[in-house]
Amino acid sequence: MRLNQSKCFLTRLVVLASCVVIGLLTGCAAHQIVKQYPVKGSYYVSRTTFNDALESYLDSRYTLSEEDRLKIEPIFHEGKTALDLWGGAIKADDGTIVDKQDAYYKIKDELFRLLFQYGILTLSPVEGGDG
Amino acid sequence: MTITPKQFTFLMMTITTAMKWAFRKVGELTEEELDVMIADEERRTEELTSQLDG
Repeated sequence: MRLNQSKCFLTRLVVLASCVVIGLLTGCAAHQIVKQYPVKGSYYVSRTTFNDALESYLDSRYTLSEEDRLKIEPIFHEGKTALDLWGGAIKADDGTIVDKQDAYYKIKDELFRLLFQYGILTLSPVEGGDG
Repeated sequence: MTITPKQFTFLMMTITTAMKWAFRKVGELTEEELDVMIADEERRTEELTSQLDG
C-alpha cells in the first residue's frame, strides 16, 4: 500500500515536471527563434499564435450565438490580411515591415481581447497539475 | 513520502540536459529552415481560414 502511494507520488511528480519542462522549452524555443532572427522570428511566432487561436475558435465556435460569431470572425479575417501584408513586406524588404507589424499587433490585441472575453481562450493551470 | 536527494538530483540533471539539448537544436536553426516553417504556418492559416468561411 505504502509502495503504491510512493509510486503514485513519483509518477505525478514526473508528469508535473515533464509538463513544466515542455512549457519552458516551448517558451524558450520561441524566444530563441525571435532572438536569432528578430524580423522573421517575430512573424513566425505571431503566425503560429494566430493559427492556434483560430484553431481553438473553430473547435468551440458552436457554443457562440450567431451575433457573437459576427463580432469575432471579421476580426480573424482582418488579422489574416494584416499577417499576409506583414509577410509580404518581409519578403519584399520594402521598409514597411514595422508599420505592417504594428498594424497586425493592433488587430491581434482586439482579437485576443474578444477571445478571452467569450471564453474561447482561457488562462488555466496545467491539467492535473493540482493533484 | 519524500523524494530522496539522489532522485531530486537525477530529475534536475534530466531537466537541465533536456533544456541544453533544446537550446542547441534551436541554435542550429538556419534561415532556410525558418522559411520552411513560415511557409507551413502560412498554409495552415489558409486551411483554417477556409474552414472559418465554410
